[in-house]
Amino acid sequence: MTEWSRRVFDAAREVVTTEVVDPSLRELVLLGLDSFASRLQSDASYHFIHLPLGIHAAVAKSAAPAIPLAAMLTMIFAGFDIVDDLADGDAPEAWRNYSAAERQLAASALFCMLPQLSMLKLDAAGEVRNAMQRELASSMITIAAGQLDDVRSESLSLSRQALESIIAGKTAEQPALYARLAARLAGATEQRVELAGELGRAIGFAAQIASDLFEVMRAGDARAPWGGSPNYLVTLFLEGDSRLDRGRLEAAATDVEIALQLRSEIGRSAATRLAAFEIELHCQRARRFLDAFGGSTAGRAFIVPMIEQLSVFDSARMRAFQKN
Amino acid sequence: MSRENIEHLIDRWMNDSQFRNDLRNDPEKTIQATGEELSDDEWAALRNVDWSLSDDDLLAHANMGG
Repeated sequence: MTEWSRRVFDAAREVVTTEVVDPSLRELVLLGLDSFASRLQSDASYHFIHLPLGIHAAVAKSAAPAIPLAAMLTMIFAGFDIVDDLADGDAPEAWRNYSAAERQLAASALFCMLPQLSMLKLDAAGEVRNAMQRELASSMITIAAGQLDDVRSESLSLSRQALESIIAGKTAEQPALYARLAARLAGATEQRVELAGELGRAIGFAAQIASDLFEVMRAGDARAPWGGSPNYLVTLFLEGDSRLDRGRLEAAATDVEIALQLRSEIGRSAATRLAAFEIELHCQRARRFLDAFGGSTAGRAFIVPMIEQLSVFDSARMRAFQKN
Repeated sequence: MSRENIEHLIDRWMNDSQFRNDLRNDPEKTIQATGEELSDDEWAALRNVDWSLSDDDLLAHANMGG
């Protein structure tokens, strides 16, 4: 975890410690925050931290004033993470001794109650805070609708267009929100707020497709992507092969050998090449929106690594690969 | 270039060894020869793609991002 990320998580813990007076509820909420922090992987993927800090720095030449905003967004994302786990039936180790109801309460505090208090304390003019509050509420409704489409979908019969609609609403909307809020806080024009949103959306799409590609291909539980939440690579594969036996797909959810065979077939299919190109296309859109957004090099220093880390063809990753 | 055209490009890459070799040697010339029009973003993405990667290498690269 970088120094910036540590400062943001510390700020989020400070909010919880200060605002949640009841010790039992405070313990639950801190557990939610700390459990979330422990499960995060590469620092560059902390979009809810680096994107608002970077956008603010790009506009106002300083990232530090956006730490309270990033802390608020971290709490929201941590709350969504708990809700997502509950919807998927996942139970992280940290929550082993707690009920679903307790996890829901922690999530509610993180994505509903505490952000409202945080918003009131942001160092911004009243009308800016009002605009940010409207942006946040409206966006969270969009995200909730995307989550509803996700939980109601039949993952193995979903079209790519339907899945992209879910990604737009549920996943890509989140970094779009982070970027727009930071732009407003920094005093950007409406045009730049919109550009920030498009930049965030492109990053969100690239991140989701990259995550889905990794989920299918990673060493680990090969049964994981089958029959669970919709997966972009699996959807592309299914669209490309109408002869595929659906019974085999359903069996892959419980049979490791079938799951490994399918993974091998997908890895060598056009779907994987297409997914890698789609990731690159969204990365390129993000680069274009970032150039159009403009601003300080301090801001770009946060955002460029975020984009490049998503590209399958990133030069740093290529060099590391060749070194190994 | 529409999504459908990108899919045709990828399919052709998978099934036509001559097209694959041409694309690896000179991606821009090969795509231009197809007569398809690409957006600026698509051209930029195309230039960033390493067409020389084998299936195994591509998957290894994808796994490094996890």
